[in-house]
Amino acid sequence: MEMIRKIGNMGINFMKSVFQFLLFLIQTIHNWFAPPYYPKVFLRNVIEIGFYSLPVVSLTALFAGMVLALQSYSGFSSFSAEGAVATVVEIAITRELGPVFAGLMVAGRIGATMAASIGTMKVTEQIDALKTLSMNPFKYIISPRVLAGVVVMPLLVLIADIIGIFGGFIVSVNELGFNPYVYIKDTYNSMQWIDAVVGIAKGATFGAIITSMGCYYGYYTEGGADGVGKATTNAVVYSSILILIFNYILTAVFF
Amino acid sequence: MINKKEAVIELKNVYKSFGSKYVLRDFDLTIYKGQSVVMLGQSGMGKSVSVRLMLGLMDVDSGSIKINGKEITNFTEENFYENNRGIGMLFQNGALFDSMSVWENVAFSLLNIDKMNPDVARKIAIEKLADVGLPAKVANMMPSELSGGMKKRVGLARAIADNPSIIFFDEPTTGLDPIMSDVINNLIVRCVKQLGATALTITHDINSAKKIADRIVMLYEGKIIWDGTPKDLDNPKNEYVEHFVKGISL
Ligand SMILES: Nc1ncnc2c1ncn2[C@@H]1O[C@H](COP(=O)(O)OP(=O)(O)OP(=O)(O)O)[C@@H](O)[C@H]1O
Ligand SMILES: [Mg+2]
Repeated sequence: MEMIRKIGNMGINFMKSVFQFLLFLIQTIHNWFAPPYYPKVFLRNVIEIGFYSLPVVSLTALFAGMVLALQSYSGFSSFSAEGAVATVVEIAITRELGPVFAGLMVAGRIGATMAASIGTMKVTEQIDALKTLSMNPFKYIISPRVLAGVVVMPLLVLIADIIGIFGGFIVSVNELGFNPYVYIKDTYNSMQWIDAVVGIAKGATFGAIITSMGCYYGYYTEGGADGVGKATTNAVVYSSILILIFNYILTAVFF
Repeated sequence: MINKKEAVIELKNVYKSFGSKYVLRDFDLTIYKGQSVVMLGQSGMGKSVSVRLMLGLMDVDSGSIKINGKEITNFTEENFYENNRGIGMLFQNGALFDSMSVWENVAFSLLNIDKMNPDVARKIAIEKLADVGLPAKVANMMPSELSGGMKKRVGLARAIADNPSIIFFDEPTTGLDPIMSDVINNLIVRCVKQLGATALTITHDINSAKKIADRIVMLYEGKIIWDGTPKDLDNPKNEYVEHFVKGISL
């Protein structure tokens, strides 16, 4: 009995949080269409999410492309199908690894930062102070951040795609003895418009997930420093899980 | 002098609890235009909570709160932010925006709500800082570089920057030295007298209460149990208030 009650309570609490999160999203999106706007806050976050994530995203994409070339070569060479390496690298990077790695990296960086800074604002009454200065925190803090995530992540994913393919190219040409001209041609031939569309769709979705989870957990932080720590962890863990789930869903949609 | 008819803040039968613990029960308080009211009460009695309710930062369990004649307990978000225009609040811990410099904190509503020119807003911010006894060179500092008392004074400057008509001060002089306390007391008196604002101040400091208040109320176990003038405080005719003023535990 006790067990059933506990599970029941967990279920109810889960539904409550989902409902609260949906309301949060509706308010966030509503304020995209309701002026006044705060372009400075938006731009600052565009730079924070986009520009400052470039190093980590580029590095992970580079090594993902490199390892992909090595592995697919060792697999394909047993069928004497080495020519497929370029195609496999291109498809795997643009469809899956580019977006997912970029998403996970940005989730670690930005999701954590947003949850921690908004959570700190919450527990030190800065959010309340905003309200008493007649500023809607959704307008000033949350909506511009989520918008920045949605706008910037697709670009970051496209950059990750290019760098990942480049990583595969370096390994193929330098380590595996591919002819650079042929490799580039193979890559070019396997490229499709849909690859870019997938990158943009996944990027925008992941950007929305990361920033909204970061803001949500930050905004509903309770208790002092402890609460901020919890909010940060939750934001990173749950946005990472959601990224993987939505990655599957979007892949299935475009399949 | 004070128009008794014009109630600016009106709380009736307000109940507020956290879990099973009651903080306010059947709380009534009416404050009239131009009054400077001080609320006294022991730590943890719910003084800050009552102010948060008046600002709409928390929801009542039941009861009515009217600010400038408008019932705020059934406000939507949008009305709520609109209604807070013309209301200033000093938080007990300052609640400065730590990502902004001191002057941007003080000028926040001037810059972001009134969309004032930054140079003009900065000038006003520096004037307000001078009012709370802070030199112009603090303007460019970040909140993390300030002492506790300085933070509080910046919070005070921010609360009065937009010349609000209702001001809440949550322990404005706690953590300040006696001289600075006097500066702040005078500032509060000036806000009320010159700007014609209505003020509700929470303090533990009896001397400061006597200086700034024209009316003092005492919160005890969820209710206002005493209501009088600073003079009445010398002979409050209430055992609990007498003990509180003299600082003797019951
Ligand atoms: N968000 C909250 N959640 C749960 N309990 C709360 C919350 N805020 C306040 N309380 C409780 O309400 C009571 C009143 O708190 P409040 O901050 O109003 O006290 P106070 O009179 O301002 O005290 P002090 O003089 O120490 O500032 C306290 O017992 C506190 O534990
Ligand atoms: Mg308090």
